[in-house]
Amino acid sequence: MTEAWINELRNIVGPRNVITGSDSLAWESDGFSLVRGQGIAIVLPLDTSETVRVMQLLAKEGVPLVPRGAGTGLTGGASPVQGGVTVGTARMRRIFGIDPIERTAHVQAGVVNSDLSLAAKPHGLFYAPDPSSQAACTLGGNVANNSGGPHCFMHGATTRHVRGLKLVDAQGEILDLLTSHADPAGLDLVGLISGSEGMFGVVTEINFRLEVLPEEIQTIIAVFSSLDAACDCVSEAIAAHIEASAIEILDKLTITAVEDSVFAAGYPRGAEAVLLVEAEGGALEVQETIDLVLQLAKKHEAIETRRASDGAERARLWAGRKGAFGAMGRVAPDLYVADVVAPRTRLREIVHLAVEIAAERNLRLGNVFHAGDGNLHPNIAYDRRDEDEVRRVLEAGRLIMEACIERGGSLTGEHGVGLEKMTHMCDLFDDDDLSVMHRVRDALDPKRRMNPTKVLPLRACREVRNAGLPLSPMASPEGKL
Amino acid sequence: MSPAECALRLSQASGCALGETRGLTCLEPRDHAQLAAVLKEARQQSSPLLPIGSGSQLAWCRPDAFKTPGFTPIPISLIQLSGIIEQIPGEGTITAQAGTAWSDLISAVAPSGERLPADLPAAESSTLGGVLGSGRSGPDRMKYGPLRHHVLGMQVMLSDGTLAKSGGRQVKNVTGFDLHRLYTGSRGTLAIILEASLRLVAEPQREWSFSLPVADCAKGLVKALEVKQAMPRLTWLVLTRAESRVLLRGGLAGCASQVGADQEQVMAALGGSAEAFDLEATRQRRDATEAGSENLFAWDIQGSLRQCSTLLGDLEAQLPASTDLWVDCSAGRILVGVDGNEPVRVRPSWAESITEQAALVRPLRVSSDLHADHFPSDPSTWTTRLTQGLDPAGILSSSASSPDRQS
Ligand SMILES: Cc1cc2nc3c(=O)[nH]c(=O)nc-3n(C[C@H](O)[C@H](O)[C@H](O)COP(=O)(O)OP(=O)(O)OC[C@H]3O[C@@H](n4cnc5c(N)ncnc54)[C@H](O)[C@@H]3O)c2cc1C
Repeated sequence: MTEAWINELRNIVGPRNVITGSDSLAWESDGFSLVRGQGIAIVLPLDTSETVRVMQLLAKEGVPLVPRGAGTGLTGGASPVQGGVTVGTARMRRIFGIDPIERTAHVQAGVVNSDLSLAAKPHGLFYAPDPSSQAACTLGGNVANNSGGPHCFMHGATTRHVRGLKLVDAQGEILDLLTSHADPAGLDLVGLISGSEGMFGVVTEINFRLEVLPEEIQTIIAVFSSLDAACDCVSEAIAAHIEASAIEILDKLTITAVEDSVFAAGYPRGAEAVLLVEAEGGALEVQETIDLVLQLAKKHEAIETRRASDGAERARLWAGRKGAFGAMGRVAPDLYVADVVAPRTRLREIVHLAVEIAAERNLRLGNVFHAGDGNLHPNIAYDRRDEDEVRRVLEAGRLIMEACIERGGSLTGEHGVGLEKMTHMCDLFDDDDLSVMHRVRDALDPKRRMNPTKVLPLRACREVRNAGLPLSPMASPEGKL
Repeated sequence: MSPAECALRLSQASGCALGETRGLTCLEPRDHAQLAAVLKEARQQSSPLLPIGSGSQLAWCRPDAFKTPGFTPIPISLIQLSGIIEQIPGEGTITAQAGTAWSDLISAVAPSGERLPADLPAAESSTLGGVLGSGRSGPDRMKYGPLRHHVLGMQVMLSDGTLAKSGGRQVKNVTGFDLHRLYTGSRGTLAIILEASLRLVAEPQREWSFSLPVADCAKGLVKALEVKQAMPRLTWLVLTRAESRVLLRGGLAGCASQVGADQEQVMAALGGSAEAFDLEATRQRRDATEAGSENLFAWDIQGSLRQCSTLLGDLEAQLPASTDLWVDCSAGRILVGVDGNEPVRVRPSWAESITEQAALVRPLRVSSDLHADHFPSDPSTWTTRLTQGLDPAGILSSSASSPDRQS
């Protein structure tokens, strides 16, 4: 039976583009490697019409499916934990066109994030959302996760850049929302689909808004002798309505890891914290913003401030920041990348708590985060072979998340809920809130075949809480569910 | 039964007070319990409801434009549910109840040097819920993007009485589905908005604006595209045709020294004489915003900027010179006026002729005949599926389809 429809899939996309058996190992998990799942096959359609045929066949056979971009997601969203078929966008790499008048780009979902800015550059334009994984992650994955990045402080996360899209739903029907208009009337389905983590269909094409390349960019670092001081400096800058394009903080463990790695950026070793700020726009406004940051850094007793002298130095500073997760590989073989949101007036308090929670459990914590947006990444280096360490890591992750929520923050700022935080949805929402999300999902995918067991807990919150182990899916280091 | 009688019956059965908005009898719940009671009665009596704020945007669905009383939605105003819930200086956000006046929000954020992310006409008579429900944005969307991008979270009540929230109050947050984006612009057809959180923007240090007479709209749009190309930091840019006079108007806002330098560049790009530039920037902006009030127009045309250039040429050729036009040069949106305040009953020949070229041509002041044309649904059945999923009894969503046609 199964072999028959797999053969049909091969007829649609070509035999080389259906992957089964031992070749499918790389598709068993995403960047959240604690959880793995084995699907029946991976299928790689070339475009919307192949996707329609694939999805219609899977609908007929009643097979669950998982959309997948590059698999860099950090919450298990692209792991086929319920088996079924993974529909990947690896062959959807076309940039159909850049329109300099409308300042838009029409692309296929499998285009890699950084390739879009490269293609837009000759037109004097760029694509603003810049996740640190931008050299690998796909634009379709960015839309599905509503991904952020350092420069989203000024430009906003992915959803603010999606003008339109084309999606193939669970039944294999096309939803064509590739409108030419900037602010269409009617229901904002594009807004609903952005950030829906692959649960409404496979996005195959997107029309993105592009930005004009700025006249002037300035980048500075301010070095602090305490993480608290760096956090306070940011909170005050936000209260002063600073118009920077990115405001990032790296702590000591992260700085050391970066400086020891191929991403070495010239961050001062031994510093407790580095604040990395960039401003872009007209020369005068950029100068004013940078002057304000320098003034605030001085007020908060920065021990050194430095301005990137040229484009090459700026690129190095950013390569260091964006390579920070990778560089942490030097500290331990595995990295638990937490992603939580703190109120921006309480940055110091929550970062401090995260440090304490990790120290109490004898864990190695590196903080590198989008401070301007209050989006924290307390990253814990660990070794998955050490069962007790895994337990402590998960416990610390949960406590940090709960501390944020208790203080008015949120579960996730950019990585999404996926599998990792699914049961924690009950910390933020009640059964009624979640039931409405389920109703929307059921309206669009009544058989719940799209990316099953992700994002929305299937049981009532009381039962989820009574189960006691909110992170049970990944509690086993082998990742068995 | 007349709509007023229906409203009275619902009021008596639910204990909810009646009020009057713009000549219409409406229900005015004072709290969530009363709202839930009205919804319960409405379900029992199969009586459709139309959630409104102060009723300033009712032209798309005036209950008195419906011919069949049984299908006429009864307005339910959220005006009594008002007040600011949270505004912490330094967070850059505000959360308020749906009935809060837009102007009250403006006053609340001003002391901390902040502004709402949309400059809207009729701020005094608009409520937060009404603004979001009708999906409005101001001309400053050129700088800040559409208002819906700044809605961080919401609490709503569904027609079955379920109270539900989505999103949150933080500037960055991707927890759960962004249902608040779906409710924004849904005109109350999916759920009743009870409260919402918005991201704020910094009050600019300085504003500057210009108002340049141009020969006609088509030429004005060419100029607009030139100036947009020359100055990427424009905050707003609109073309207005009123009393047969066409003006290209726009402005800058932000850091004082930058605005000072940028205005020279804009003037050079426009090639106009210095007298054409009015230094009373705030008044100019307000005036241009008010001039774009949807209530003053009868038709809404949307398309890409390229489509707009062609469309404007065609419209000018077909419409009398006295017809008012308002063009948002960042969104590709053209508003067309017609004389009088009467509902539009037929699609004029010019509207038929440009339908092919535009993404959308819809009446703003709707009669029942054109009602369904106002609320565009997507090509697949997603809109229907969502309305059925969230409002299976059709209490709220009936106003989006034409009840007269159903009957
Ligand atoms: C080193 C590193 C750094 C990172 N830095 C950041 C960062 O700065 N900011 C940030 O936000 N994230 C970051 N991430 C997380 C990750 O890169 C983003 O979530 C990214 O958007 C995922 O894209 P992807 O193509 O890899 O998607 P995948 O991991 O393949 O999928 C992610 C989710 O999207 C769904 N999906 C994928 N493609 C589609 C599609 N076409 N249609 C429908 N659903 C789809 C999947 O089902 C899954 O739920 C980082 C990850 C790593 C490993």
